[in-house]
Amino acid sequence: MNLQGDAAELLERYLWHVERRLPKRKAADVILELDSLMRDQLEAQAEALGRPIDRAMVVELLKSMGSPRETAARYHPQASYLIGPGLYPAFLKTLGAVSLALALAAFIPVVMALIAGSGGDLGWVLLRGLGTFVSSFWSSLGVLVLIFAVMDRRSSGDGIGKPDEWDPLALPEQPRRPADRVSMVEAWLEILGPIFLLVLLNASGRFSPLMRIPALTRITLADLGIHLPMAWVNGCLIAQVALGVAVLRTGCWNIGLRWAKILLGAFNVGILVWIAFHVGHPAAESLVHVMPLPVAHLVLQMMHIGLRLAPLLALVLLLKEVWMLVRSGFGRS
Amino acid sequence: MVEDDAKSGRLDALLLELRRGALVLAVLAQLDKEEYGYSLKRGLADAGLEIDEGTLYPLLRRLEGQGLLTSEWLIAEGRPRRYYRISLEGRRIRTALAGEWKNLNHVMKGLLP
Repeated sequence: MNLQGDAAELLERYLWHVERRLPKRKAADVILELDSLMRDQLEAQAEALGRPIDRAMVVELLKSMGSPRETAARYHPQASYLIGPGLYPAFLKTLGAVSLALALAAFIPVVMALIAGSGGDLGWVLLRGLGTFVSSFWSSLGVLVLIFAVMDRRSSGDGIGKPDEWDPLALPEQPRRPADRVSMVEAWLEILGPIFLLVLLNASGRFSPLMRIPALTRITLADLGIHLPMAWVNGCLIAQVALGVAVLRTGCWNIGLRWAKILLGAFNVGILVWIAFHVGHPAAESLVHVMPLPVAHLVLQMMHIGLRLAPLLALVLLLKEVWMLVRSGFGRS
Repeated sequence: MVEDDAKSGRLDALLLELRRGALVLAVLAQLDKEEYGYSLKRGLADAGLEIDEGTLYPLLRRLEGQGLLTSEWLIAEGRPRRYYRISLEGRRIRTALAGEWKNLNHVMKGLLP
């Protein structure tokens, strides 16, 4: 008895949701076996009942299997962990990105001080940069582990719990095109990126206090002449977090989510243009209390170039999203 | 009502824990000849040991990963199926587990009222 129509579609949808939670190296093999086993079971049941396999039979089997998250978790041998296998790749990627940002934040001022000839003894300056990096790295590692451990325990996924508590019919559809698929890592980055910016921009109007760089934490955005429409910025970032959560749930960019991303992208461009047009021109002398004058000149020049490039970069990203929407045939393909 | 649910949940968890160890031995006992997942599940059920598929299939993978089982993909009835068989190491472990099982069984008979 063959599995056809909406019953086959439901089984494939379930397997796809399991697959995206498995490590890549074994996902294909596990899914092939699961597919074969579940079809065996459905055929035996259909034979016992004397009727073809239907959607209700598949629903019953999927309920007994447990949600995709549970099924995928059973294929991971780790018995206990702070950060589970579902989130660990995202944790590593985030840690890598944060480490890079911290390294840049710690060593760029050192390099600039050396260029300006105001850093003093080279060895001491380098050691100071290294010390700043190490201390900020450990702080960030602790915070990230805490955040991911809490997320791991609070993440409800698609119905973790007793098998009868989840509804297979509520599983989001799988994307028709591979390009629309979103890995768990990408989905978490969609959420964590805006959260990181929310924390950074709302930390007393200063650069991140996590960085523990005295020179940077004593500079406010206003000192640099940057005025942010914070209500709009926060609203946009919160909407981006919500979009990330929706992407995490569906596991793909469907037509609605693509339109939402385009709208938010257009909004981003608007905000960045507004910021670029409202940037002030503070005198470099106003920053001498935190950095040498040549460094202050360099910082302000780089900041002005960055603020003019940011809307262009956002526009390129927006156009890329529009292109993806067009390529998907506006969801008709 | 809530208390009843909690008690029932606790009992389920304890039963699951009790069966978990026995399950490995039961699977090893059934795999002298090649079996694929569903045929093994049916064989165990016919012998009186019902095991849900969400537990059995990952268990087979785990035992294979530990070197207690070997497996190969074969085409049967027009479909690729993964067939499992006990390995030499699996036989050695099974003998040890079976001895311990018999010993425990003997001890428990004396302990239980």
